[in-house]
Amino acid sequence: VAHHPTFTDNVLSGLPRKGGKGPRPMYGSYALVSDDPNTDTAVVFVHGFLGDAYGTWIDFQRMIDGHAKVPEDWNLADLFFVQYSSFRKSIANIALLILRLVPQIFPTPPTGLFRIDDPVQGVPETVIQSFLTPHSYKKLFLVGHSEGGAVLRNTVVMAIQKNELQEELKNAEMNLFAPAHGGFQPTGWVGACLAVGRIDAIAMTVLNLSPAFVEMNKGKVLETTQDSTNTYAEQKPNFKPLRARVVFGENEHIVARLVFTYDNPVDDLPGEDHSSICKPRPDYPDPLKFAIGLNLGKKNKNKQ
Amino acid sequence: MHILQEFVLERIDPLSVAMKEDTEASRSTKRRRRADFFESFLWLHLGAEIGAFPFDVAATVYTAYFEQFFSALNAPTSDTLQQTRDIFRSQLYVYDTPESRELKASFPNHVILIEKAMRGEDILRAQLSYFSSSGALRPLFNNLLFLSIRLAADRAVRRFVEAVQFFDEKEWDEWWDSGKCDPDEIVLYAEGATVEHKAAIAFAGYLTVWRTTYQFQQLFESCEKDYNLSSDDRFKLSDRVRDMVRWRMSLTNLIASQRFDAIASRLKTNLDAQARKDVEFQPVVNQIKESFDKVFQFWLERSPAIA
Repeated sequence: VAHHPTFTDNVLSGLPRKGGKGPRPMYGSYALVSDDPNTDTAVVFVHGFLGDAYGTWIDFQRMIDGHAKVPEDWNLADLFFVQYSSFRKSIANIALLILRLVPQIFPTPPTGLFRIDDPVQGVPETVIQSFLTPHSYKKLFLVGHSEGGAVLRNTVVMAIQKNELQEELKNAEMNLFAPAHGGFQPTGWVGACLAVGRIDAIAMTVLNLSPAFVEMNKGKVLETTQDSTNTYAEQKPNFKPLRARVVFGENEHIVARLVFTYDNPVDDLPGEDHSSICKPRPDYPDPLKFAIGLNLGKKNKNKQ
Repeated sequence: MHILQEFVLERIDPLSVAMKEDTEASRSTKRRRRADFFESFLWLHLGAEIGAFPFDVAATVYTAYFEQFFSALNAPTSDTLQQTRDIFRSQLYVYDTPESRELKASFPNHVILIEKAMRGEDILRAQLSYFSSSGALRPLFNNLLFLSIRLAADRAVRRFVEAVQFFDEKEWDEWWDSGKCDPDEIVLYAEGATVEHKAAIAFAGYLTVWRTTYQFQQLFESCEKDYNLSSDDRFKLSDRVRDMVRWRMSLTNLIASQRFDAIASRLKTNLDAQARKDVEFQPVVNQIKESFDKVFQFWLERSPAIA
């Protein structure tokens, strides 16, 4: 089984532009599409503050196909990596983007994900015929890192409030790496380097600045999301994404270890920090298990 | 979509069309497109060897897009007369055009491959790396190719490479304008807006190359601990990829290197100025500056570097 990197700019739409000019393309977003025709799982990854759809999750993309310790579940999963600008967008705005994205993917993604829908003149027939078998999904996983976790929680709350996607989301599993509560917006040359460079290991240094500096903007949004999530979790005990699995690294110094009332916390992962926790390595395959809902073994307090 | 379809649709076909149809493009744009197209060929060649692309399909892609490209790099007969004396010295393998010479200058480690392709040889079977376990390299190759497509598709990077590598002095001076711009323009350009000051494009291109190079490094660094991969294969692949992509940075070219340094040092000066105003930023400014220096070393080394 191999996963094929596929840009999604032309097959998945972002939010509408101002003035009714049609949807904004989601630049930088992409998918890894499995060539196993029995694929039945969609996993949506949402990066964090100043993160990148590729860099935040490195080396998920290679290890799902190239490493012995990888759970077989990944063979039957397509991965969708969302990119957004965390620089000037509110959490609610990004959450709305995800809310509009999910029904485009789940349960039936667009056929353009698997084959060339509109043949381009001059492209050899052999290339056009090299398509992947289209499939639809039965399972949905929502995976967030840092601010991406806050975004996904907000998406679920928003879906309930707007009475949208109830069927699509009710069995979705939410797995969050170090969900964030930061809201600092760097400006000037530092801001430009971080916003365009999108290297989260460096963004961490900014987030390590004084907490008051970092948490000044978005704290209120997150408090509201927490209250709403807890309330809805009581009202809708079978609505799975209201009960997130949450994991932090042992060396987490960026975000408060805030776990919502009905969450399923997992033991801290030894040696990992805010940036490294979601990046699998050959000697650290845990993110590959956590993201797709598998037990991490001894470190896990809860049975899933 | 199969990765070969993605590669053809996102990279090879648009470049091929642009080269054929946009005959009014500037000299620097044409040079950049030719180099970009040749780099695409190198990815096709490598993907066919590794098995990421079915060999027969890769061969049809070569015939459809690249055969004519390489053939057109040969000088017409009238020019060859001036070069006949070289034939008797057995020094001449092909009859060069200005375009083929420029291409060889951008890819000094691929001169033989360019000449073989210009002669119409069975190029997908030439100059192979003979990896011991090609299959194990496929996931890594797919990711490297993906990053390269992402890099090549970025409009800031395209303009940055054209300017740094191929602008003449006058064009460069006008475009760079001593690096005058507002930092917000850099972010806006990277997000798709138009900007007043062209220097913002230079900074956006530089920062995007920084990010992608860092990701290349991270990938190779992760592979170092992956015992499924032979270290020989990993080193061969790493060196080949550097040789294929390095032309965009080409830090060994003096003029390009000076322009690259001008962008980097202006960026560092501006970061320092911001840190002087707000000392809280000093640690992150130091980290960004150190990262610039470390990350771009990747293109100069012959073995995997650690960011």
